[in-house]
Amino acid sequence: MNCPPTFIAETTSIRQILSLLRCIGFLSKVQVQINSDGLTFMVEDSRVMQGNVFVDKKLFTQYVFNGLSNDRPLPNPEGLGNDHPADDDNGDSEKGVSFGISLSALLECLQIFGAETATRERWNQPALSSTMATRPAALGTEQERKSGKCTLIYQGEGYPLQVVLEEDNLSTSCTLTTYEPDDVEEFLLDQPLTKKIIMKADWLYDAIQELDGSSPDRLIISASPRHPFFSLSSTGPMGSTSVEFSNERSLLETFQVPTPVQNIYKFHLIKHAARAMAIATKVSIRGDSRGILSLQFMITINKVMSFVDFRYLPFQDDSDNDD
Amino acid sequence: MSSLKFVLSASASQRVHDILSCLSKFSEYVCLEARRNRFTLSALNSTKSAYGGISLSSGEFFESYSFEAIGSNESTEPPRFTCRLYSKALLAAFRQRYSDSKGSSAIDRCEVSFEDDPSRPECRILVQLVCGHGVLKTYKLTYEEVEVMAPVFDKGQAPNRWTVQARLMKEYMEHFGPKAEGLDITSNNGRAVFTSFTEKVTDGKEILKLPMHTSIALDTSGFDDWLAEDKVNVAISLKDMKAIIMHAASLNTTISTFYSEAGRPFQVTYDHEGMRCQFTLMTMTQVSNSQTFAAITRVNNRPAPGPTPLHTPGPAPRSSAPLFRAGASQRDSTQSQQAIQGDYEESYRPQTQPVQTQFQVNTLTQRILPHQSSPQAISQVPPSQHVPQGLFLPYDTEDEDSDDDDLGKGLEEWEPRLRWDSGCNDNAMPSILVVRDQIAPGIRVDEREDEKESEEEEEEEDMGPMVGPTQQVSQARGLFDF
Repeated sequence: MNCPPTFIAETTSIRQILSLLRCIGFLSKVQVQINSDGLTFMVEDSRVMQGNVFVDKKLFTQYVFNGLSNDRPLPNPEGLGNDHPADDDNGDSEKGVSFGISLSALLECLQIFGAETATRERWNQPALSSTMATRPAALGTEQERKSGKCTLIYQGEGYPLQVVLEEDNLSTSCTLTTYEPDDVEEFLLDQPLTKKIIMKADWLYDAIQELDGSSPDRLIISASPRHPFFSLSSTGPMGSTSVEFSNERSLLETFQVPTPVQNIYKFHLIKHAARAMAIATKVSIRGDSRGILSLQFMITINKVMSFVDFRYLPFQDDSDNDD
Repeated sequence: MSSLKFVLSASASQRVHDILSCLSKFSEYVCLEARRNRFTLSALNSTKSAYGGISLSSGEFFESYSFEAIGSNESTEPPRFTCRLYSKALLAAFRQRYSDSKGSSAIDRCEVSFEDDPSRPECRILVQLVCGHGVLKTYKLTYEEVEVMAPVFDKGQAPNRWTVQARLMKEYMEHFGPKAEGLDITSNNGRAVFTSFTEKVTDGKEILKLPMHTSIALDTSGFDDWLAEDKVNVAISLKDMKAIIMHAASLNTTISTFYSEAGRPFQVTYDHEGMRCQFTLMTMTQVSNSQTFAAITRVNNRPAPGPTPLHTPGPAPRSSAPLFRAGASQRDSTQSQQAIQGDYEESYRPQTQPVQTQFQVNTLTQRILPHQSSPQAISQVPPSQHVPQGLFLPYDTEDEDSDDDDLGKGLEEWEPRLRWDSGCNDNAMPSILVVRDQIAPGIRVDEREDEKESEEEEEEEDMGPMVGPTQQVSQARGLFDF
């Protein structure tokens, strides 16, 4: 295809993007969808779990998307709105492009800066501030963040995704093969919701860690308008574990559960979301009558709010899931 | 039917975590024993060569504690309830919680209860962690009702004793590498000498992987108390000792040790705020065909008139103890081979014969004491009843069988050097292991005149890779003899 490319974007916030993408880094292949609002990365595990990261274009210093240049018919027109449900009302205004890509390779590329900065901050921050006391830590990290620049270029269907990383006078160019997009149908929640709970992500992370100790197979999520309001439990060969949350304002920011509801999910799939739980500030737990569960994590990095969404199909006890 | 219920404060439940992580280094099971006045957690390793028991005083350690036994005859024996759990399961409930870091998982208190109710088929211990903001974590853990074994240790029979701050001891232990297996303890001219050693071989073809001994000699003034006879050597598992010291150091307490001689048990005790911790470790026996030792000390090629090896009837217990003699000679050997010869010759079993290596009953296993497992019971046993090599009798329970399941692991760790010759049971030497390649090729001819030559020959061929060969003396000689 001729220039200009379908998509070109430049960012200095690789670290943030990397942290977001790492939340879904448990699988090696990701579906990418680009439209004028940003990039959506989606992974699917065993056809019962989906992880969705939306990278807002606010995270880019320059963001150009010539979506309509793409004349290939989209196999699933609804697919657009799906990946970014918030845009449902004006989703038709612009078509996006989508392709598959190796997530592990992409993470590796971005890590050229990102990981290093992250480890530097985590491990050497105290050392830096003590030995180089003259340089304020905040400024130091800011500089480090600004030092790397990353450009993403996608020419169009059939072309690879180019990731160009620049630092000082050094430029690294990575070319990632793109694949035909998979036809992934997003799990949509039915209205009305059977539960909607917003709480600190820490709480959920702590509970999942608690349950993880007995390495269970399944996670039972129960919610009820009466005591016990919200509980996560599991049963393993060594016994059972449950974590109950009472309906306290300090604990459950929002708690809307009209009737008692209980669903079972695969524990290891829920654990895939652990990374997101660990870095997120809040989580919104929603479920519908069919048992589809949505865990939406709000991750705030550098005052930019991003969302990582995980959807799960329930585990059916009688008819075993063929995953 | 009996029922137990107790409440732990947040800090006490952290203590329980520390206890469990220490005990889990000994065994994959933790045994619990409840009595009116105390609650004991204990672990006995799979080879029954190490035991750790921590008694929690009902009044001091717990916020509240009640143990009721209905229907038991109190006049004959005090009521008790014993069971065992996977340490992993208990550790999941009492896991390390960094309550400070996030504030979300701060525990208010921990309530534990269980009922031994015959009418209900399932055995569950209920652990409830009441956390801030109305979070309640509930664990229902499956337990198995078993009899609990504990060793009997007579302190009166243990004239050697010393006391030291655990923190200090931990510092000393840091000198020893993570791969060292044994720790030899001796007193030499009023100095405390600790030596780490290993007998590990990677596989039969290679020479000793870590023939390194690290020895530290310490002035006994650093010890609160040092009453150890000079030249008395005991060797214990370094890993076990480290686990104990780690725990004791976390309590910032002072440990006391008691022991008599090699082949007899070694005890470490310490107390802390309602906790009474007792660890009994079996020391390694003296009969030595140790390759390490042989390799190093083979200065004069003369076979010494060593003590006849003991033959244990029946399949020898797969003990944890590499046969090991005097740490002093081991230690010194790297520096001065002259000094050790005298020492060495006394105990050195000639390497130049087909070696019959057997293990002594090196477990704490000699006596059945199902109901004397309490620490108090220990001193009540007349010394005459003590059997030199052990303290337990293999207790006749399923316990025993399941322990065998994980024997392999311990064995692998400890004894990669020796394999069981499965053919052994068929011939006249049920408990005898033949170590292959132990004969230096050079000396083989003349030395192998003695008994069983043909037998050995056959066996060697049969066994082939079955028996992990250790290093050849000739190889070792090349290493050490310059």
